[in-house]
Amino acid sequence: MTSVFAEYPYSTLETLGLFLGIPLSVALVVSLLVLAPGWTRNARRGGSTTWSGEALWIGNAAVGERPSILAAESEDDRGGASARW
Amino acid sequence: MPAGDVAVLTDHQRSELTRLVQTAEKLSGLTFSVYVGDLASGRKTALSLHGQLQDPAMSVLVAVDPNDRELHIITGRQARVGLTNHACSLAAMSMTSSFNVGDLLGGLRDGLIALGEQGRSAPVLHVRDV
Repeated sequence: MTSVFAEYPYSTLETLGLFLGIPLSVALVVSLLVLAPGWTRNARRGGSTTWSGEALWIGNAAVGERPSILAAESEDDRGGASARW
Repeated sequence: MPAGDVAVLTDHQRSELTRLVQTAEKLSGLTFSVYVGDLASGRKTALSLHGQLQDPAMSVLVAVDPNDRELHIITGRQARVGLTNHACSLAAMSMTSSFNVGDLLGGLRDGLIALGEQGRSAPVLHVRDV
């Protein structure tokens, strides 16, 4: 009676590579594909929130402190909204 | 862009924002200003800057501090009649969603368009007198 493994053409090392190496390689590639966009997104986010510190005005810029008699508008007169991100 | 680099707007982007400011002004009849930079005391600083504009009552200031991740929209006494706080809140939400993914220009663009369009329909307060 011959063993079922008698004519098995691969060595133990090749068998491990076939049944462990290839699935692990595929899992690694899939994981990288899933995680890589998140890494690049975080890098973009981090960089873009750093400002040089120099103020930039678009449109009409502030003309400086006004005499108190002209600065009649109190905080209650004004509206708007605030938000953080 | 790796963290630590300085984010600035290119000349082309500044020109685009200037055009958008002008478009928002034409749509709404209000005066728009955009400030990007340090807001040391948050809204208090934004209010101070708004008070220093040429015509604060008719002005809308969009102040962004990218480092502290703060946005303040300030409307003057007359400007807030057409541009309500609710409309400003909606514009702020739209802007911060873009800022959150690092798109400063896109957020400002969306905000200016929204504010310009919302400010367009100023109610006529003396309609009963006509």
